[in-house]
Amino acid sequence: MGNIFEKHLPDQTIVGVDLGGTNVRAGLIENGILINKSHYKLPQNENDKNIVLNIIYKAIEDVFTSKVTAIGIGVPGLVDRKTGAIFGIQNIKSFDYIPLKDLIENRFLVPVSIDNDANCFALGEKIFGLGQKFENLVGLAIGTGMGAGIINRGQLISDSNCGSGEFGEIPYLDGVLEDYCSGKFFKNKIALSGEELLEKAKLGDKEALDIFNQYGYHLGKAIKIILLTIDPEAIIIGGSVSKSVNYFYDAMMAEVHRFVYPKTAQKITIEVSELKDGALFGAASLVAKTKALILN
Amino acid sequence: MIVKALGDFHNILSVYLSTDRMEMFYFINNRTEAIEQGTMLVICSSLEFLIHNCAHHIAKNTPSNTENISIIIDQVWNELYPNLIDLLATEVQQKTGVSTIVNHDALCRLNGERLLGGYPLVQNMVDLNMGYQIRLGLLLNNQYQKSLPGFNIGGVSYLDSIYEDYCSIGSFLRQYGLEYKNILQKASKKEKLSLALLSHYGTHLGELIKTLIFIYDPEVILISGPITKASEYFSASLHKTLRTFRYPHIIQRITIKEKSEEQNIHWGGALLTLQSS
Repeated sequence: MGNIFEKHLPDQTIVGVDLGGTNVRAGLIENGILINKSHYKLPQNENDKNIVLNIIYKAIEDVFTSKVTAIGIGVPGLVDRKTGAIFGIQNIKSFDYIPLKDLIENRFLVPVSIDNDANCFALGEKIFGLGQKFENLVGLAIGTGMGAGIINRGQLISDSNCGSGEFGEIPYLDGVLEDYCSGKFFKNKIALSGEELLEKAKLGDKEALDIFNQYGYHLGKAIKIILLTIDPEAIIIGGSVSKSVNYFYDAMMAEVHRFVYPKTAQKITIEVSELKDGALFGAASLVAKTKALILN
Repeated sequence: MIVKALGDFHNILSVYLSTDRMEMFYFINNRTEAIEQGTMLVICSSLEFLIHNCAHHIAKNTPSNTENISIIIDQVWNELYPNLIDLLATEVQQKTGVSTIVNHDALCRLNGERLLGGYPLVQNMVDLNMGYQIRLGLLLNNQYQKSLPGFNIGGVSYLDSIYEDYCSIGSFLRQYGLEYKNILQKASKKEKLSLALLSHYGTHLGELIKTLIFIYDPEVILISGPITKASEYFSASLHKTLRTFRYPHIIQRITIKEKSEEQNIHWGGALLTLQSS
């Protein structure tokens, strides 16, 4: 993989951490190659933040070596960019304004960069994935929730709370876009996960196919909002729901082509992420981004 | 003095072409002098006529020692005529022989407010211009953004329609059959219905700003345009709505400025002229 690590950091070894609401994964990346991984489940509704912190430490320790020069972490929530404190973390209520950057730096004695997971996804796509050929793109991460990262003129937006691109939170119908454009839609409609519904669609189940069509219509609405407010060259869709793209693509594009500015709709490139272990590379790219800026 | 620190504002002609009038200011020794204000323009039936009319009027009023011309156009003109910026700059430059740049009003207001309003170090800022339409000026990663139709937050879905139908000044006519200027006039006389309508407006504006924060996460939001004349009537309900934002940490730190200095748009445009020369 030709990438920014080889270009700017030929001798660097970085740990990328993907902190999810239910799992934490860490990966050791050397010269752009993922050479070791760890994975732990997180306890749900745990009130003791130290229990969760110790699991994150353990995930990093499993892959950490003396050659590691930096750690990048993606979190499912917001980050005070000035202090590195995290807040609004989904499913980890005990993590309210935790100084995670300081805690990890003090423990592992290497620089730590933290950002929202959707921002990491977008940056990972820009550096390693399909986004390499675009200067302005939106990385749309769709799983149990929906978030996005915005790359503007080749750079991730350095917003103060890592909170830009939260399209899932925008009011829509009787709720918010996330209710209709993430895995929540399938749960609410038919009480199945996206993966379960995909299996039924593969067997030709009419109800499953119809629900994916409805989903595509709503996702098309969300994409139209992205076109209105960001006007990117490309939107790259990732996350677990993107695996079902063949079943909602036509309905999604039909709605996108009803956009009020037809030329914009014709121009936009919409692709599905091909990155394997994209979350880990995305988190690691936070560090690559910082170093690359310094070197440039 | 901050203005002096920004550059030498001397012999710069600033022209603001809004949808119904043209304003002209002349910068001498880092202060402005009005040349002409409120010149009514004929509603232009074509791009050629608009350019010819404006260029002729500007050339006629350009002082002989002018070194730079900054033309600020209402974004609506650019939506009607996407080539207007380039064509107008060329025509005025040919007619006057003076270096000319043309920019959107939102961009100039954002630039002026950022530097003269006390936010020179801000990296991400939004100018939310509330008129008959809703337009955005955007500073992202310390760079001014130019894109059409991008940043059309008024077109984002809201309730049974879009934000523009609830938050532009035209929304009063659409929602209640009442003109904004009449509501404003009656509110100043403490008429209860008008006060209630403007207070209710603040709730919708608060929801729009929440959406804005979810999309751009800016450090500063500047509210500008005709609606700011009513800010004293909607400010309380606006802030009450913002206090329900899902992330209190963000609301506590963000700066929301409900009024802008009208002349800052000229300073912003003139500064862009200096920055480009």
